[in-house]
Amino acid sequence: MIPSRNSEHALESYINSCIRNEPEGQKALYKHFYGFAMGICLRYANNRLDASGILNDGFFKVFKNIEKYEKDKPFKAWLGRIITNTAIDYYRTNLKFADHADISDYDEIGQEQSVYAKLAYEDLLAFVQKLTPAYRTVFNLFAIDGYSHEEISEMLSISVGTSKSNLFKARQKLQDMLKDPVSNAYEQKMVAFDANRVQVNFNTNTK
Amino acid sequence: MKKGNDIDNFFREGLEQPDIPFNEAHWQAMEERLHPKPKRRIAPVIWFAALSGLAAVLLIIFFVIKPADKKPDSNLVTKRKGEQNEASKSFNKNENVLKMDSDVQKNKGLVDGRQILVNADKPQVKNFGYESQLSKQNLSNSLLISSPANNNSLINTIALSDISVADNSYQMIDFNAKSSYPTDFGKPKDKVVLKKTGSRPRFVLSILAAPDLTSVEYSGRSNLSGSVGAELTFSLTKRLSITTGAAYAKKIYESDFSLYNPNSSYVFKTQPTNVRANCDVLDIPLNVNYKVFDGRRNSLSVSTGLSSYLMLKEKYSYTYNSAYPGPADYEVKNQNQHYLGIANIGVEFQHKINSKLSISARPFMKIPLTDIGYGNSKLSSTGVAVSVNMNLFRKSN
Repeated sequence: MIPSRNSEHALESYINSCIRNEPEGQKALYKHFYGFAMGICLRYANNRLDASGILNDGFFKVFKNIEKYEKDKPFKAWLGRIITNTAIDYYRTNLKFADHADISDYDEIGQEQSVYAKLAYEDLLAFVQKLTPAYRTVFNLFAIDGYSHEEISEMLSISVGTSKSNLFKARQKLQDMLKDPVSNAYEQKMVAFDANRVQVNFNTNTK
Repeated sequence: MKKGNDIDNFFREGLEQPDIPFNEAHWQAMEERLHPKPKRRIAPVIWFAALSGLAAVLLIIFFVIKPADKKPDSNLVTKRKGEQNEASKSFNKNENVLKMDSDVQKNKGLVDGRQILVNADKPQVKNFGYESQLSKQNLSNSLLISSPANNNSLINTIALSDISVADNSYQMIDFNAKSSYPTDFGKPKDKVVLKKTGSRPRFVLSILAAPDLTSVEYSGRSNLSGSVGAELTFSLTKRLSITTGAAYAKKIYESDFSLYNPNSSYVFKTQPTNVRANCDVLDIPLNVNYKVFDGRRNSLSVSTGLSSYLMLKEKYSYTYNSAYPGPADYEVKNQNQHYLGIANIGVEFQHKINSKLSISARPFMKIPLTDIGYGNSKLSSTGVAVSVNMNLFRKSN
């Protein structure tokens, strides 16, 4: 998705229109980034309903603060950060990091060379959504959105060790789900997942 | 860490670029939050309240003032109507009698032979002429009538005409003599004419919509705004009338920050470059109109006067050209009233549809005499008001 000069120009006009608080421009911008933003929300949310709530909370902040956007920086990243922060805030009260020890000693997860079957987006999303908010948030931030543990510890007001521990546990849970999606404890809500399509064999305890 | 990357990559690749179709319902929820509708609903409520208040005042004016000074007039009207009816009734009777008579004579002619038949034909012809004369007489009567004496004369002539069918020559002379009667009643006739001018439509109610271009003087930019309202026009003389009413107007305009001078001590840390205003205004005009040209169907009048602006709501949005913007907008409600602070000029083209209804188009300009609104801007509007006008309490002519 390399924005062409045209779409960049269109984006600029949407933003200017949003600055003037015009519904047309706001809708255009909303529509333009709907998929991108919703993708983030779905990853951070427990379910779709929460995700759409987060989406609109996030966009509301975007529209109300759009004049604070600095035009020389990429808009998508700015928007993404606002959406992500909104999602984190949404579950902040549920983020129970309290009793996690710093487990830098077992933060290496060994795996067989993974021949991951191509899982559909929906399946992966279902896995991620099944994680607890604390695991999911750290996993999203670190693995998908590319924040460092230092950044995460600041964003979530936790220690770097807790961040690492949560990431580790999140990976472990995800591996378990990939390994045996049907019998997995996290699978109660899982619908229409074809276990035969996933032939993954993780060995979590090599080394 | 590095091995963990596998599962991270796996999920990243799977989740990074989802293809999620746009959901209109989500936008609708968003839009409601961004532009809540209840606020918009308030404005029409105010407008309706203003209109109904105006209507109530008008009704009171008409029912309290009208019966007192219009009574003699209305009596006259009924009288006149009665006379007209009587006259036309007897005229019809007369016609019937004439026809019957000629029929009788025709029949006679058939029995008695050719000569009588010729005689019978003659009166018929004469009677037709007489009829037309009678109708003329009647017409002029309907214009001049009002005195009972006049009516009597009409009845007399009709009575006479009934009798005189047998002897046409006598009857014609007699009728002519009688036809001179109305001229003896010169005075009543004048009176009636005077009354008639008084019974022109005096009140005209107009419902109007007026799109306009609103701009701040010297800003060189204008935005489309508009207003809707109701006006009442009261005729003073044949050509002169005054108009008042109320219009709910939306004024949208943009200007440089330099033309925005609020009476506030607030200092912008960063100067905005642009101010965009969106105001709800109740416009109460008081205009004098002079009819320059008055045709049968079309008329042209010029009007001038003053308007009062009651600012119901003003919202100012600021645009910045800097990386450190200040506040985005500011809203003021019911704070500024400008009584007779705006001058109106306009030219109205009116086209009559029927005796009660007309439509008109009025290009107009609203020129500020004071600074308008919280921003103290010289706000002017130019536009065209389109209206439907109804004659109220119209008298029959």
